Amino acid sequence: MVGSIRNMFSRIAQARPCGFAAVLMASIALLVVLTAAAFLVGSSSVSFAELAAWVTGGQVSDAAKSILTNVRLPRVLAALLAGAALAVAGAVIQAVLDNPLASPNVIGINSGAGLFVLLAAAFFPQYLWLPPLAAFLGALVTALLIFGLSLGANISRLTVVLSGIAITTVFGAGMNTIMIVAPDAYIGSANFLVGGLSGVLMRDLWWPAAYIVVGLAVAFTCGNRLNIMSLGDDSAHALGMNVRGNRLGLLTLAAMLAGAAVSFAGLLGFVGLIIPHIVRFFVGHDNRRVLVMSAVLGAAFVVGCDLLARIMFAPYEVPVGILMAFLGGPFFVYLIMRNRRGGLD
Amino acid sequence: MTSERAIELAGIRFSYNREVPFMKGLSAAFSHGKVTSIVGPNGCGKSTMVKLIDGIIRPFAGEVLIDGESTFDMGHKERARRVAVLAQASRPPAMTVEALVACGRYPHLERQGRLGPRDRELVEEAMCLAGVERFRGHDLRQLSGGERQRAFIAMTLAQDTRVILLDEPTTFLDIGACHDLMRLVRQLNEQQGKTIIMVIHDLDLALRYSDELLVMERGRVTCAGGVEDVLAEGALERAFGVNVSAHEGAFGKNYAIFPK
Repeated sequence: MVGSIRNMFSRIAQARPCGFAAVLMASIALLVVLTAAAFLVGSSSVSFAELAAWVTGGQVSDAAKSILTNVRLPRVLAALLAGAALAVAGAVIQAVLDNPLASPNVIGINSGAGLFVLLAAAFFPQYLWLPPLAAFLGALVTALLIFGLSLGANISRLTVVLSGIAITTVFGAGMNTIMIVAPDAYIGSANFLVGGLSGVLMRDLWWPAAYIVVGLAVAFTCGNRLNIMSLGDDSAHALGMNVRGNRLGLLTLAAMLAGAAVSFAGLLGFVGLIIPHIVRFFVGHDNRRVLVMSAVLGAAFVVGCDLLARIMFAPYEVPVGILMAFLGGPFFVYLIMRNRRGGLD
Repeated sequence: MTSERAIELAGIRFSYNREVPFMKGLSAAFSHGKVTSIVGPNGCGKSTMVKLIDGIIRPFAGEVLIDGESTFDMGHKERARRVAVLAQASRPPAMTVEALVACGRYPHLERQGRLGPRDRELVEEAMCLAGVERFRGHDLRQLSGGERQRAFIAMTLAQDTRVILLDEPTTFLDIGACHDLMRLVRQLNEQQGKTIIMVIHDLDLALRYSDELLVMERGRVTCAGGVEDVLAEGALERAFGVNVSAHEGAFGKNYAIFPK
């Protein structure tokens, strides 16, 4: 059974010479379709004609307009931003740490960001610009912890992952404490810990959106450096790269992206882990391609998952993070099994 | 004016462990236009010397000069435009031969690393010189050890430097592939005028394919010069505790190495 699935996958992989442009266009098409569906579907549905009119600035009924502008738009935008940011952060982290198991949630960056967001919300709820900044700081602190750790000689990939779990546990305890001591800290805080997009408002999005747009633009220019880094530290150095400086800079970038996403979406896990792997499966290991594709597919993935989360148990709604954990957990196990002989230690 | 010395190390003091001094005033020089092998027993400081030249480690005192200029005053990319270093083989990256060779242009490119027409020409030329142009689309992980090492050499050629430093290039290669690679080294030296410095474990290869030898023991250079002179001095015998004797054989000079 497993063998036949593997055969099927390797056959798909061998039939891969579909060009990068084709894969990219297909992914963008998927993204557009899912985004349109995310606007249409919900507890009160909107027709496609109404959506088209709204997008093109035509006549729309007040009810439809209100739903699209106040309910659907922030939510879809949040999903797009979070998906792109977390997937690209994951691709960067996997390349920088040369570790296929790493991602913002696995190495604890998300929980670092989450803790700082809750701290900001508990103590300075009046500043709207603070949570994204706090999230960035929290993510950065965690990234630096992991970076410092990875400098040590002979640190295995698994050790990095285990350290991430330890960090997540401690920061998770911190977050739970804040929620008990300051229960008003974060509206929809039940969603925050698993990651959800239901309570997101436009005003929560402006600052993180700015961070994410800038972060993505910078990340897209870094593909070649990541390629050089993949040659190994000594080779990258021999080619004239300041390896440590670049690694630090790129981890900071990943922290910024992941932190910005966490500040409004909560601890959305596993996008950053899964998407880069799927992308590499289709377009190979050239990081210039991987980064762009990760952004598109990451956005599509979260929009799609959020859509599913809304309709699967309607009228109940599952936070999208729960759905993604169901997908991500087994995938993580699969990666561990696949890498068992691939030198995790 | 370019100095005759491609690379010079002067008065290097260095140690991995501050309590135990390792290099106490190491000096060495490599001439332009030669193939020089650095040989010596394990732990003598061969790889440390490569790291010093490459700037991965900084000495506590002393200087590393490339064409008479101190590497400490150079940026990383500037250094990489003068000396190409092929690091010891590690896990092969997941990329095609052509992509790997293109990495050699990195020190010449702006930050986004887009190749210009001249860069593409040089990549093409490097692949042809190293004889890997027919593998251009192959994933490195699918190649044999010898082919892969040639692809890495092509990367250092694309770097377009006068000096190429190879750190144990024949490790993990079978005997045929070793000789094949060494012939490529000679060819690059003789036809492209590359100055080649290599750290090599196999004495037979070092003696057979080098112009000059540099013998190291315990963090210092004990003998340096032409292969015949070094042999005559008995420096290899002292360093490795072996007897080396040269014989004229059917295929040229042979070196027989026996334990003392």
